[in-house]
Amino acid sequence: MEMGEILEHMMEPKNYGVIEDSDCEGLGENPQNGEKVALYAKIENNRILDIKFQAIGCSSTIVAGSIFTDSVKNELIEEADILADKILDMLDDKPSEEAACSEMVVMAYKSMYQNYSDRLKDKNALVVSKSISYSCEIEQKEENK
Amino acid sequence: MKQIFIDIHEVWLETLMAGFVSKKSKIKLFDSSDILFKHFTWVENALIKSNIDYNYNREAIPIKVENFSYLLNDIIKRIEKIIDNLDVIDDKALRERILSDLTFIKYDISLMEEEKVTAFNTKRELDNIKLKDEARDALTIFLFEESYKEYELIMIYNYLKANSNDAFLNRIFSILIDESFFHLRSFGQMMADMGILAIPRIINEELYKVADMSAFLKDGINEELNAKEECKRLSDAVSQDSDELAKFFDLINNQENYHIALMEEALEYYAKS
Repeated sequence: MEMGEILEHMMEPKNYGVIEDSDCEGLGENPQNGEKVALYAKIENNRILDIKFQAIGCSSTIVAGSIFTDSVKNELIEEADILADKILDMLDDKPSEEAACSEMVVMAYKSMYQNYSDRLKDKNALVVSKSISYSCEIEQKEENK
Repeated sequence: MKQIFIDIHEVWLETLMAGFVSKKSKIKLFDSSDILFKHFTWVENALIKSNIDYNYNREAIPIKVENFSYLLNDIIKRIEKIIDNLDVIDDKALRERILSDLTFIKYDISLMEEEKVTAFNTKRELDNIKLKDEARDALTIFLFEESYKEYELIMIYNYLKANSNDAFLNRIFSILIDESFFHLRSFGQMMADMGILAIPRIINEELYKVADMSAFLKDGINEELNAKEECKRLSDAVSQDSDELAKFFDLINNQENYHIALMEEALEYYAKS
C-alpha cells in the first residue's frame, strides 16, 4: 500500500468510534500485551448498514481497522466473513509482528459475526472475545536491542 | 449537562488543532483552547457533584479544511451551540464565567484573518531540515503514536484527578497533565509543519476508568520506558540530518525520567495507603 493511502487512514481513520445501539459487537485481543479491537455494527437483512471500531493499539491497528470496516460497510455479513477469511490466509506470508494487527481486526470481526448469530437466538447473548495467534514479540525484542 | 460536556470537549480539541494550523493567530488560539480545557474540567466537576455518570466519548471532529476560515467558522458555530445550551448548568457563577469566556473567544476568533492551510498537505517536510526517507517515516509514525498517547495521558490523569480528593496524588496528576500538554503541543505543531496534522482518536473508556491503580501505574512506567527508547532511536535516526531535531528528542527522552519518578512516587504512596 502507498504511504499516501496509509497516511490518509492514519490522519482520518474511517468508522472510528462506538455505535451505542449496535445490533452486534465483537472483540479481538492480543493476550500478550492487552491490545484490543472492538467492533460494533448495525445490521439489516444480513447487510452491514453501519460499522465502527475502537482500538487500544498502535497506528497499524488503526489503519487495518479503518481499511477493513470501510471494505465491509454495506456488504452482506456473510460476504464480509469471506473477506475476513481471505485476509487471514494472506497473513500467513507476512512477518508475525506485521500480521498481528490485521489479525486482531479480523478476529474482532469473527467475534462480531458469532455475536450476531448468537443474538438471533438470544438477544442478550454476550460477546465472546477472540485472541490472535500471531505475536508482536519479535518486533518488541528487536526494538529493545 | 452531559451533551454540553461533549460539546466543550470537541471545541477544545478543535481550537487546539486550529492553533497548530494557524501561523498568524497561533497564540490566541492556544490561549482559547486552554480556557476551553478549563471549562471542560469545571463542567466535569459539576457532573461529578451531581452524581451524573459520564465518559470522554465524543464524535469525530473533521479538521481537514482547505481554508482556515472554515475551521474558524466551525469553532464559532460550536461555541454558539454551547452558549445556547448553557442553562443546563445549575451553578450560576460557573455558567456566567463560561458565557463571558465564550462570548470573548467567539469575538476574538471572528477577527482572525484567513490563512493558507498547509497542515494537511502530507508533504512530510520540515523547514530547513532534510530528512532521509527512513528517518522521515520513523518520525511520521512516532508523531502519530505519541500525539495520541499524550492526549490519552491528559485524559487519563484528568479523569483520575477529577475523581480523587487525595492532594498528594492530585499534585502528581497535575504535573503529568501539564507535561503531556507540552508534549502534545510540540508533536502537534511538528505534525502541522509536516502536513500530517490529525486530531487524536477517541480514547477507550476502560483506559481512564482505572480498575487497578497499581497495575495502571506499573504499566505507565513501562510505557514511559518504551517512550524513552523511541525517543533515543528517533534522535539517533535524525541526528545526521538535524542536530536541532535530535536535541529535541533527547529533551523529550530526559523529561520522561521525571515522569517515571513521579509515577514511582505515586505507586509507593498508593501501596502504603
